Amino acid sequence: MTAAKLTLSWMLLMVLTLSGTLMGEYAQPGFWVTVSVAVITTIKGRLIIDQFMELNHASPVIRRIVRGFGLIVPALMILTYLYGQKLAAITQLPG
Amino acid sequence: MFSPPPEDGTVSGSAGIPGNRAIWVGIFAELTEFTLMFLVYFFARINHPQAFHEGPQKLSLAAGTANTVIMLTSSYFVARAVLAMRRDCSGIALRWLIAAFVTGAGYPVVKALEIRWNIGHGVVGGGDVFQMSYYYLTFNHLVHVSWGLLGLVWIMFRTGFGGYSADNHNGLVAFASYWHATDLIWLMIFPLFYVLP
Repeated sequence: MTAAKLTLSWMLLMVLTLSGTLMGEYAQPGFWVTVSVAVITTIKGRLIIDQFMELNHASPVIRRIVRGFGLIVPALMILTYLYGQKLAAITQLPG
Repeated sequence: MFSPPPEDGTVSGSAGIPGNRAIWVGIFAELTEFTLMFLVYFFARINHPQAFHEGPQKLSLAAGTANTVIMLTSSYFVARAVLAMRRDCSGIALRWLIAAFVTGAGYPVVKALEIRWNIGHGVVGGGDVFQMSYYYLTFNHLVHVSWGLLGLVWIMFRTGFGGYSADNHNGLVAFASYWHATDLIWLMIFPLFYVLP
């Protein structure tokens, strides 16, 4: 890892954060808005995991677990947008 | 089970474990805790879509954005401190750590201002399911940030008193791993409460 690469990652994280803020300000609910938020969240998470934490050089066990964690929220954003009602129906307690 | 460390020394610690094993027990506990809370969030979201659709409009997007910038920047400063320590420049590393602390200390300050703003706008713990989820997750995250700031003070002392060198700074890398993981969790919380309509 070099200082220049770290700084570039930080700048990219800032741009992606401000993109998210603009979406929070103006976006209406919709499939592509949800996908965009999920993609931005995934990229930001991956930058932290690979560049800041340097897990791309670490034990594959640690790397896979943390990268997997970074995918849970983005995946659930899209899944619950597409199948929210079905998931709600099957997760209700009977009676 | 674990691969050997890389030759270029980009990861400190044994067997490719950044920092030490103990911190990763803590980090995995932290990730498990928040995974469970995210599942609760999505369970509440699919059962109360209207509350979660309207929820972000009731929160201060400026406060959420400010704390995201604070977490990312403080994390960046800590990563720079690790880089400096690898070059055996402990004085420069200490300056990066002080910058990380001063920046990170802004998080609880923004949070306090945000909570005051929330109360003034009727966003309270006894509110709807969105507001309850928001307080539950963000207060938990605040606790983790507070621990991190305390840990950062310790790391600053250790660095200032020559406790680390280019050859041995596992404690610094362990702290950095925790701080980045706490940053990573905030990056998941931010879109869930402040952005996703």
